[in-house]
Amino acid sequence: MKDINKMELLISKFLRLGVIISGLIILSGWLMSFEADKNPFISLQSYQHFSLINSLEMNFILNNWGKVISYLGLMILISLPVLRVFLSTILFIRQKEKMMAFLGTVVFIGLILSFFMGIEGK
Amino acid sequence: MISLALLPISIVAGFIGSILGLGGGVVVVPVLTLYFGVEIRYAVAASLISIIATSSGAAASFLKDHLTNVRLAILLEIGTVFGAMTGFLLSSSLKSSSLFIFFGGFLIFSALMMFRQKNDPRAKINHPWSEKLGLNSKFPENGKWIHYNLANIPLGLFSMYFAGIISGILGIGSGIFKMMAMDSAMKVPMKVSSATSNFMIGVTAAASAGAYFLRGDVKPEIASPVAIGIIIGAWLGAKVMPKLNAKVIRKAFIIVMIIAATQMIMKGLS
Repeated sequence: MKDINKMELLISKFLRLGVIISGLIILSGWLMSFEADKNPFISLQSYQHFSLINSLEMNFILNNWGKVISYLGLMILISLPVLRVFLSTILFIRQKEKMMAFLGTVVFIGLILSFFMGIEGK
Repeated sequence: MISLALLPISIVAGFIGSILGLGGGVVVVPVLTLYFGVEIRYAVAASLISIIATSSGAAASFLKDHLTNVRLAILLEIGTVFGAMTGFLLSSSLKSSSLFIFFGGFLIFSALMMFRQKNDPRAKINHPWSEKLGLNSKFPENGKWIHYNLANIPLGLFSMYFAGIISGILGIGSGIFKMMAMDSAMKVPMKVSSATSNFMIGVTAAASAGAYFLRGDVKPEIASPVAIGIIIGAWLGAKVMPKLNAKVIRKAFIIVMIIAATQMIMKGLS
């Protein structure tokens, strides 16, 4: 049990580092695309379905690298809790805690499924 | 230049959220929708991103204090993750006006909950699920280790599913519901429930944030300054918290919450 707590602390410290790194990437992307956004709120006042893939394609074509970098930072940030669940599950498997490893796997599968819902969702 | 204004506002949101133990979403969503005119779905998605940042950043300090029950968190995350998925699906079929009314109602509920008398009862008998999974644990208080049992885990798990739905729909951490379920149903000591709730919030938010992100609802124009601002604000809040009179700030913020709730409900009805 003590080993698990120690390892969880290590995972959480790693996550804090992940937050700082993704925060810096998001900041760089935001600053790079800052000039391009004169009043970003006008286009966000009504809802229009425009998927992430479409947004990335458009920003690639327009060479809007600031936005692409922002998306990368946001993706890393969103992935951090998923990574935490994955690492915790590995930890339980290594400790031969079958039931806890099973619960961790269910959470991990749930998270992956939820991402797929966004691809399908309109 | 207008998006620059979001940065200081988000810093204030993160600061208030950190001091009052509320997620930044309670401040961010009303500000984005009421004052910047942003569509509520984009505001919800941006808010979820900021929740992941604060929860993931703070997890280490709660673990270091030996207050987080990691095993319990993993069990309860099953409820919150599947709840958040349901919330995402429900939000897709809800109109923006309904989301405004729903959010306004949540703000009033949160304001009322701040007056709640907080009891800290303990479970005498350990629930069989807790026994099987080894969820009962101990935490430090006044230089001593206090052992605790857990009660009514199925009810707690079901309540977490509900907390996940609210999080997925409104873009909030649902910490208030998570703590209620742990304190009232499962008799988790309050210090432990607060730390464990914070630990779980990032995973709950990631379930719906990932879906919103891939659907294209996370817009960097707003999500970036909000995430950066909330990270800075929450860090500042944690630094100055011991020096502040949180009770006075809490009372003042209740008034702000009720005003924001009224405006959101009126916008939803108009």
